[in-house]
Amino acid sequence: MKPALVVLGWAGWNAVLMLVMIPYRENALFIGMYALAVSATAAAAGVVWLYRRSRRAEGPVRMAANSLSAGFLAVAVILAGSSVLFGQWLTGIAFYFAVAALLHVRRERVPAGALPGPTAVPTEPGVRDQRGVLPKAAKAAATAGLLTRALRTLTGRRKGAGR
Amino acid sequence: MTAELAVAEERELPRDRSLRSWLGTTDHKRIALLITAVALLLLFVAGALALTMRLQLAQPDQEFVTNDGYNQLFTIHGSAMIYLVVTPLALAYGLYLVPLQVGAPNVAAPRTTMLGFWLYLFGSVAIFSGFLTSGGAAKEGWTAYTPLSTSEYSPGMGTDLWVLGTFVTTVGMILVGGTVLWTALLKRARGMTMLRMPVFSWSVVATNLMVIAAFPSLLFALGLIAVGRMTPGLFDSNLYNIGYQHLFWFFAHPVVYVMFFPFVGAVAEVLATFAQRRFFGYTITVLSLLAFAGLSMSVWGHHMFTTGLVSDDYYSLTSILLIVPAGIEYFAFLGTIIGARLRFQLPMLFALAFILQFLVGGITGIMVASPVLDYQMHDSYFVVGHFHYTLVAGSLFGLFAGLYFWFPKATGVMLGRGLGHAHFWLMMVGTNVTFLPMFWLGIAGMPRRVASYLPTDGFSTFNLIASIGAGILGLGMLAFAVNVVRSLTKRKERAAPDNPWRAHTLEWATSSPPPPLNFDDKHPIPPIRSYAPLLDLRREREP
Repeated sequence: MKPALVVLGWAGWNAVLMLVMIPYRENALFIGMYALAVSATAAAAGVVWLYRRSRRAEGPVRMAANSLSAGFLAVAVILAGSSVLFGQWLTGIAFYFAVAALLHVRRERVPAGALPGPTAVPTEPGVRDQRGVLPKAAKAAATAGLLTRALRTLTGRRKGAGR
Repeated sequence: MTAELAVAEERELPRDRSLRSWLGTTDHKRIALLITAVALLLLFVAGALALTMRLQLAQPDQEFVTNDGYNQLFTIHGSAMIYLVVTPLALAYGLYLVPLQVGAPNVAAPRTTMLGFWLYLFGSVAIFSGFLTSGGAAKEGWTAYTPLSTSEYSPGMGTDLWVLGTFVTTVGMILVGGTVLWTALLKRARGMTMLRMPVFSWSVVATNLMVIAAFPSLLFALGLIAVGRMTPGLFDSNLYNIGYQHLFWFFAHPVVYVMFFPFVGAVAEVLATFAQRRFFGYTITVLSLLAFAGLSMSVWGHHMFTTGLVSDDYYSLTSILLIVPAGIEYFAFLGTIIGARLRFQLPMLFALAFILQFLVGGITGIMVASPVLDYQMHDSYFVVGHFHYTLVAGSLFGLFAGLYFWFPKATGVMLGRGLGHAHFWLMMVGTNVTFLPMFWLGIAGMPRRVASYLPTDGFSTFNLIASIGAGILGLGMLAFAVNVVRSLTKRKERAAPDNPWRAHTLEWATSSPPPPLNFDDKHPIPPIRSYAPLLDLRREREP
């Protein structure tokens, strides 16, 4: 089972549920709202797929040893939000925290390939579903067989029909 | 493999316990523990608000709190429990356990996750700081329906702070959920294929799919309130009012599932461990979790039946369809425990109570998903009883099943059994005595969100029983708090081994508590051949 397929499958299942709304005559505006969420999930599936395809997924894990920049950024966000209630002067202070976050963020990362501590976890994931060729071939053959049978049932005439 | 890794020499290694190391941490376990600590603290605060409400309602015609004060109490109680306690706790469980269960050294993008924590913390402060303003805290309910939440009907800064705090907290939760989902999908160890992830990790995947699909809708809804508060007259058009409800419930129904899915996963792990066997029906349970999560996205309109402006047929159909995946999960639970040699340790007691009580919440949910019944029950105490059976009798029991189960792993300390049993039984009795009478109150016609009632209304007896139950529930929570403090202060006496329960998943292969990057030379990742690698290993060694 591929991770992108899990996300895409889930988006697909939601798309089916969304489409069922149409015969029930739900307001188009709210079907559209559901469609937006389905599209966002499908886009997430695309990002997962692209990431897996890219070389980044194969490369070593790159980690930060510190996260103070996140704290600074969060203070900037809450101050900027509060400025709507308590006055625009707060955005000035928020700006300094945003700058502090920016200055701090680069210093937090350890060099690529280095880790902030020892670990026995292989850090070059490269996870692949470990399945042989045979089950895949069997699954493909079974699907093809089912599809052919379904197609025949739909297009062909029933036994005895039309006599 | 370890030899291949260059370790940054100047970096401080493990066990730095300073405050600075906690506040600037990039360790997923510490971030999860920070979220858990804040959420548990707020659980007690929001619980105290609930007890105050139950005191007010214990007798008819009481004036223990004012009407305005009561509105603030139920608004902040509901908001805190949903936005600041159960949702963050559910996501924090995933944040702590998923990297361990999939064999990753850390969560993906730990600084983004930490940003999520900070936003959650500041959002919580903003919501509660409403009590310090002259007009008091927000008072329009956790749903903040328009036009009630506009500046015309809810003036004052309390609601503004509520909107800001909820917005910021929700962004934080999206960041936490997104990074955990990324970890489960893309940071798994070698050999840990998708279909070898434990049921708990799958429940977190389904949870976080809902987070990324549904939570942004709340941001739009809150944005709409903010614009409405600055633009008087915006909500004169009913399109905006109904539109707000759609946006809100598109978030608010899935959030209920976000608040119990990880605990369904936790209960699955507890049952398999204490039944001493593999979890029954793994693949079908995984599929049903995903189907369940998908269905939960499509049922939001059942909260709006009484507006008369939604398709009753569609939403009742999808709501009733929820029985199918829920039934599959219950079947898998029963399949796991039937005929097994069960060990009735504390996590197992909470898990079994979860199964029984959540059923009441689920079945009453199906009842109110029927438009005919919903028109009668809407906004009555029946609904209050229903969702408390889901979130307290269900989620909270699942949460405690997981907490007693993984506490030794996270802290290296076993929780006390005596106080644990006191906690369980008081909570079990308290929960049912509090929330069961609410069904009868609802059927008798007591509306929710009322600060008082008359002696002639016929609500007195059941309200008194419910208030006594709330007191018992409060005592149970007190026993839990004392147990945690006592256990943590007696670390040496109660030291936990690496795998005290003989559990099956990867997190039990490492030390208690785990090292900063989860596995080290003393605790390497064992071979992964199924979703229960430690059980496989044990069966190889002890055929």
